[in-house]
Amino acid sequence: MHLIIVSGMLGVGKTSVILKIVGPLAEGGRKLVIIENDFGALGVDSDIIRRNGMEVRELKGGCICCTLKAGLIDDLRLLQANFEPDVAIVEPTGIADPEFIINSVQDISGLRIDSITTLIVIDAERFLKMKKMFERPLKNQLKVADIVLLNKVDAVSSKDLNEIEQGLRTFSYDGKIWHVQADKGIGLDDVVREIIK
Amino acid sequence: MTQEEEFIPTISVVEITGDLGGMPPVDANKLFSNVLSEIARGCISSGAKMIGHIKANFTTYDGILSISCTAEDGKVRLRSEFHEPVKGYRSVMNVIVYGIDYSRMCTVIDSSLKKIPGKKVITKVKDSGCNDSSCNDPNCTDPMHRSFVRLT
Repeated sequence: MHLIIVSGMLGVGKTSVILKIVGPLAEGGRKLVIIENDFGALGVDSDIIRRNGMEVRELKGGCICCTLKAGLIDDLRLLQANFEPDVAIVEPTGIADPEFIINSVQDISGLRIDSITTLIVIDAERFLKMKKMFERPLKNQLKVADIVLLNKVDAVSSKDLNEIEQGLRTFSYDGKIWHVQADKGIGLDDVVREIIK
Repeated sequence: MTQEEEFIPTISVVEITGDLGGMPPVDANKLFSNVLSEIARGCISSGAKMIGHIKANFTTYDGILSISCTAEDGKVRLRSEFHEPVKGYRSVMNVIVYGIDYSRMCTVIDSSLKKIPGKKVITKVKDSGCNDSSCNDPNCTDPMHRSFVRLT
């Protein structure tokens, strides 16, 4: 099973990314599952994914990188045993540390993860402010990033885009930065090709 | 580290059920979008440092309006809209904001929700939090269980 972790700070567009990549990911008959870690007892993101015709497994009222870590492992085991998915997409809350998730699902008895891809979504519109306020969590997220998506690029000038990219490089991320508009699906087909390469 | 030095989000989860009596979809989309915009602007004018994410789904029998706001000026993005007149609806709203206390946030939310016409029932959903010492649970009421990020 290929595990895709779609992580990023609050409001960066993680759910919008998932909504647009599931279609191309499912092409060729791949079986997909989505595990959604919403805030609170009543989630918003899982509802919109479900309304888009997908079955969603919810983990609510906690964070899967710590308090609900066991719940995530149990769900992955259960889904693998019953559904045999090719791809499992996990959307943690905006405060989760993806490294904790990666570490917690590896070498677990009864759970076979063949590969993990970590997508980190960055909000171009708010990055410069977030960089000042959330330096440590951003650094932690970028440390484990396989693919960095710079979302909402339509909302900033090309001058700001350069500044944002330079800002991302200060976190020691030297991979490609993919420019996307997740709500319109722009730029995400190439990202899917990169994921399944 | 004192609590003043930490920067943690304040969260409110609100459930609303109501009836707009067949309001045209364009008007309903605008009404609910304005509510989220007003909550964002109200939180900022009440001293909040940053909007984490204000998001809500308003669902009817055959439609869904999904609104997301991360902007301090209240600009919203719609993931889906109503296309049919809106009668009975149900909504779940998550308001996640940095640098505002819970009571102020609730005052802002209550004031904004009052502008929704028609019959409605508003419930603030209580979360129990957790007992895990390594918790990053944003709903946890114990500040020692929170994810700490220094104010800069």
